[in-house]
Amino acid sequence: MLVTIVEGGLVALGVYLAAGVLFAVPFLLNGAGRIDQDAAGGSRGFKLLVFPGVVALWPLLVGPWRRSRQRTERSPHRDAAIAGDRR
Amino acid sequence: MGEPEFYVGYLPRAPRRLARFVRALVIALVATSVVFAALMAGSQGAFSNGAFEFGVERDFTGWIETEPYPMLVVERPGGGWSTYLLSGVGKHGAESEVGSGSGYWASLRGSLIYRDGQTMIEVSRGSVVPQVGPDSGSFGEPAGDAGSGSASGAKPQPDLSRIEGVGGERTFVGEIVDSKCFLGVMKPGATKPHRACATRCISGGVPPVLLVRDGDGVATYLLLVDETGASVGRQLVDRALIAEPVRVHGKLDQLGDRWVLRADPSRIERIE
Amino acid sequence: MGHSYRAVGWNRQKRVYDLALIAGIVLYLATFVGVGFTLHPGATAETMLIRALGTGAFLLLHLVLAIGPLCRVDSRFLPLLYNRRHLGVATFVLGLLHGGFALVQFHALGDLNPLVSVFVSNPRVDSVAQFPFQPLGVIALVILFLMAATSHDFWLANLTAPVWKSLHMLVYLAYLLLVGHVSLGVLQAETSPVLAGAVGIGMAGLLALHLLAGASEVAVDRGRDAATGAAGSAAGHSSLGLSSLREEDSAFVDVCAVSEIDEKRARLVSVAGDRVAVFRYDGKFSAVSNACQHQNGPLGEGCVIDGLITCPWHGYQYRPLDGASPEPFTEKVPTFRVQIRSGRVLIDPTPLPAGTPVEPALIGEGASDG
Repeated sequence: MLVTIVEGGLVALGVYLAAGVLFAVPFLLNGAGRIDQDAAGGSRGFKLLVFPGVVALWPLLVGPWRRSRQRTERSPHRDAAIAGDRR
Repeated sequence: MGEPEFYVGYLPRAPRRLARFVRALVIALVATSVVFAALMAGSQGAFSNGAFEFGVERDFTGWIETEPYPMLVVERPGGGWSTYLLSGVGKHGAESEVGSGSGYWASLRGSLIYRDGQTMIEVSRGSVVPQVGPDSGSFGEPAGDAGSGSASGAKPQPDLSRIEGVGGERTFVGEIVDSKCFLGVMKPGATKPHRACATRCISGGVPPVLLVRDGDGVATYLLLVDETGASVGRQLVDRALIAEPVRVHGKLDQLGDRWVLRADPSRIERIE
Repeated sequence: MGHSYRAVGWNRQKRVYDLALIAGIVLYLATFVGVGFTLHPGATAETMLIRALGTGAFLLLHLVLAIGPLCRVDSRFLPLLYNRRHLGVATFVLGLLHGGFALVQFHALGDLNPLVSVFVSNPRVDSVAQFPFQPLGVIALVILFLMAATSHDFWLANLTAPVWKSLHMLVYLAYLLLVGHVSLGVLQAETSPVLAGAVGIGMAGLLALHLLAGASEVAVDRGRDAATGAAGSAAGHSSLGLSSLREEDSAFVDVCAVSEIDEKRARLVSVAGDRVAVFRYDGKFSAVSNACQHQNGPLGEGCVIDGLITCPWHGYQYRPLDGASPEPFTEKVPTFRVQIRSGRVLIDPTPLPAGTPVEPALIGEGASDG
């Protein structure tokens, strides 16, 4: 029973990470440069270094890549400034 | 003290007073960690005197007994028989090497594991060769030196009849460990940090033993079987009774030179 | 940042830092193994390595956790913070080696996938003393992995500092899990009080440091609130005499007296739910949101260098005028309007969008400087 649950969890993790690898390769070749100018000319060492993180945290990068825009920082001041600007 | 110095990491040099402070700090940190390393390494509990001749293969011949756990039975020079528990490679029993069913004469190759006068043989993969009869009964010759089983006619099988209940009906308090790790493959090969490994070993078929210590810490190993005398590893794993204090009530049998505790696994109690 | 990413942005300080770090780790492991085998010649090499790596990783984690509060208490520790990410990565690598060796030692070559075995071989979740300790170590290692994997500045820029920080706050969970991993694991088998004592001292030390740092933060906030409290009346009072100011200017809040800000340094004030750093430089006053865009470091504890506000953590720089990093860098922080009235510094509590230019207040504008 416990073994089945753990095995199921590991399979799910494997699928998630496999999807992460499928995401990470095109993302680092193309997508990263579109959301972050500094990544566009990033060295091979840089790409290798961030690869494991992209594989692990790819869902956080899907949105920015789709919008082709870097995530913007949220803080009380930044939010208030934007709200004030809209008014 | 003067104006506080401001550190900017990417500038080539840190401010002078700050650099001095950090240098002293780093030296102190490294020195502390070295002292800590020595303290940690030195305060470890004693390691057992068990030994595992990893990578050293020897040749053995004798009678292979498959029940309740695979054993090699070798005639002692002065008469009588010695039993040696067998294990497979890694966390496996020797069943896949020696098979099941009735015993037979064979030669095999393996590595010795020994502690406190107890010896086990890790059987090398595919090295068990059944023989028609025993040769001189070699034990632990360096690999390759032993004469291969020259069939010298049928010889009666060793008298290993179990002397049931010779030790009486007893209750023991001890810890169930896998015989392989405890004898010398792992140090420590008992207690909680080793539990997962002991569980895997017993689950894989390594014979379970009840380790009982007397007041002076001298260990006695009782081979565990169920009330019918069959192997009991599966039940021990399923009930999670391994590597923690337990109370076992059963009948003490003698099998060759070995004590065997016959106990109903469903009645083994944990001592919290 | 504003130039293409490299694997590591090497500079002299980082090289020195890493050399010291590697030397420390090698010395630690060599001492552990050397002393271990001298005193325990019968030990197995695997056990010695697993223990050397495990204790080493745990010790490093203590250092990682201590640096933050130490820097809050005394800025002389900031050089340790500058390249702390390499400490964290080293901690992860030691932990990974420890876990890898342990996985092979205790779980491999068995009848079950080792990764499954880690989670099922001790099912005694019903007991405190017998509770499985290895899964705790695995979870902690996963956290350390996520932190190490996101230690490059790419992640700060693309997750944004607040998200990145909340991810990295998991280090405290990892620490607690590891305390459990050690207490429920090796401590259950060791009879010597040294290890138990070390874990206890480590916990007490970290707790004390964090309380100390927290207390100093509270003290900062208390001083700040007092200033803001006084601001109401001060602002109200001075607005009467300055009819040329727009209506919303009456909302300006008092920060402190002009004389209370040292040249090239800042004072903090809390408005709009966060801290604002008000800098004084060359007779001018400018205010920016206190959180550096890089790692949300405290700009207000920074310094104006070459006319640029410089973060004390990693040296990220912003122009006081508009809160923007100079070319080619792209970081920006919100700015605030500043006024000097009757020798006091006041700011408009409404944040302006990051990078908005604001005319600095001049000392001559208001009344006399203190």
